Amino acid sequence: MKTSANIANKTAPLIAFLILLVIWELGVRIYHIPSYILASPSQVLVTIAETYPMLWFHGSMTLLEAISGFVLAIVIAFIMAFLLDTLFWLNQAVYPLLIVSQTIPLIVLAVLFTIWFGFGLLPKILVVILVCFFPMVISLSDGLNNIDPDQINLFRSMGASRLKTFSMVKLPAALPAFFSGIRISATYSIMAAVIAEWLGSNRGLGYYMTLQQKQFAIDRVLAAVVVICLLSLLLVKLIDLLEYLLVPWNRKDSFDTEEH
Amino acid sequence: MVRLKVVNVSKTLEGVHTLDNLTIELHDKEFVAIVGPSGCGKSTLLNIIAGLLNPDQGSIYIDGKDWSGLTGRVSYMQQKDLLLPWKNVLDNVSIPLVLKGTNKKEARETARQYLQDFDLEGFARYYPRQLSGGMRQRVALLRTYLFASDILLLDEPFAALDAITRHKMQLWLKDIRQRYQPSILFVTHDINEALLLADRIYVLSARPASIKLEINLSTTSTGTEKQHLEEQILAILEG
Ligand SMILES: Nc1ncnc2c1ncn2[C@@H]1O[C@H](COP(=O)(O)OP(=O)(O)OP(=O)(O)O)[C@@H](O)[C@H]1O
Ligand SMILES: [Mg+2]
Repeated sequence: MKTSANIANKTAPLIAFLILLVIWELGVRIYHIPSYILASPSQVLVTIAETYPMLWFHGSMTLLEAISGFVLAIVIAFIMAFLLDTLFWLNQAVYPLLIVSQTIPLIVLAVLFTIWFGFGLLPKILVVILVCFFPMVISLSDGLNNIDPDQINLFRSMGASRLKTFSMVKLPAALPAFFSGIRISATYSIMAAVIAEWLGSNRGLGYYMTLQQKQFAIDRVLAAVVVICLLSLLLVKLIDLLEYLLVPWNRKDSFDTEEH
Repeated sequence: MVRLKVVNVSKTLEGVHTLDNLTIELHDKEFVAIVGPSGCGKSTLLNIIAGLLNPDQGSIYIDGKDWSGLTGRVSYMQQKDLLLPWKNVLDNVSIPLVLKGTNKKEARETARQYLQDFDLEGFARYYPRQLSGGMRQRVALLRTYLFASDILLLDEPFAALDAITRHKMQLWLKDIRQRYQPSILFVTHDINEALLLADRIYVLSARPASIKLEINLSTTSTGTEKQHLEEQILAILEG
């Protein structure tokens, strides 16, 4: 019974998605919507097949920017969260600033970076870092803060140093929270790279889309959108796999679901 | 020989007067129980003895040396088992040895030798979530014992267990105590548990906790005497 419920859980969104595609396809065909306004799913599929070398040429650049920025953001977020956890005064001074910094419109920053650093890789990676960094710092900091103080006391009573307590208790305990931040950031990373490319570059899916859009090649724009979605999904799945490997005690496997 | 001495300790927590001038002794290889009403400050007292809290007044002496506010001398098992969910049984009980600088492999070897006595044989690789409540307590007890085997502070170790398991654990602890002969300071609010296990009992009053009664059980052992004591303690706890 449980397995059939599981299958239903997985197939339900798939069926909904397929129905949506069929409605879209029929809508475009029945109302003869011109291709410079909207392309049908089948047209998009054909376009992907015809233009995949181009999509890969631009997509690989986007992927490179996104992953570089994403990985750097993980490292920076980790160091930042560690410092915020260790240095109380830094936490008091910086945490509110972090929150406020999120109200700065990303687009403005992306434009500024292009002005400062040109059309190359650097401004894109910077945008990706800025977007990805925040959810990860917040989630890891919250994870580090939410640890049972008695657990810390146990280690204190055994004379453990703060660093030992951090590495043996706080960090592992905060890993699941950290991963939820990493997952959110993974979904943003490709999008952030695309937006940065959109505002000034000569390669990447964002650049490709601005080109095609100017020529009203809607099918090509949508083909790029499909690639963006697939790349984002790929990154998220990668993170899921990493979490499965690194946080084995927190797995949502059959052992746990038995209890609910 | 006095191992542990609490001398005139008072403590106020966030404006609440919790401990009032407590003086307690624990002799070598002795099992001393502390009973008191819920919330009277028993855990606070153990926190102070373990060095996690500073007393407002008074001092803690261990083997004649002042250990007030200093951690790392005695083993302390808190009210929760506090096992790390990402470590298996063997690694959980190895923690104190690792913290003291033993390398991981040696720590595991040392810890493994105790599994049988603690009824954990065959469970070395199990994770805490896979264990029953009684087993988790035995894992926590072994971890406590491996930190410092001479003086143990145990805070209601069996309070969360069902009656049958609790009784089994009490008998097991009695047995373990005979074999390893540590000095134990044991907090409980179960009078029968105290009467069953302890050599001496301190009965605390409601907050601010002070010592209402001290009972030496090594001289009283007959059933009727214990029954009489039980009624006496109950009368104090109920105020
Ligand atoms: N860190 C703290 N800060 C302020 N008040 C505290 C703190 N810890 C405990 N208290 C309060 O101090 C009093 C004594 O608490 P304590 O945990 O020592 O009691 P206890 O005798 O162990 O109770 P129980 O039988 O429920 O375990 C309680 O009123 C509690 O609410
Ligand atoms: Mg308590």
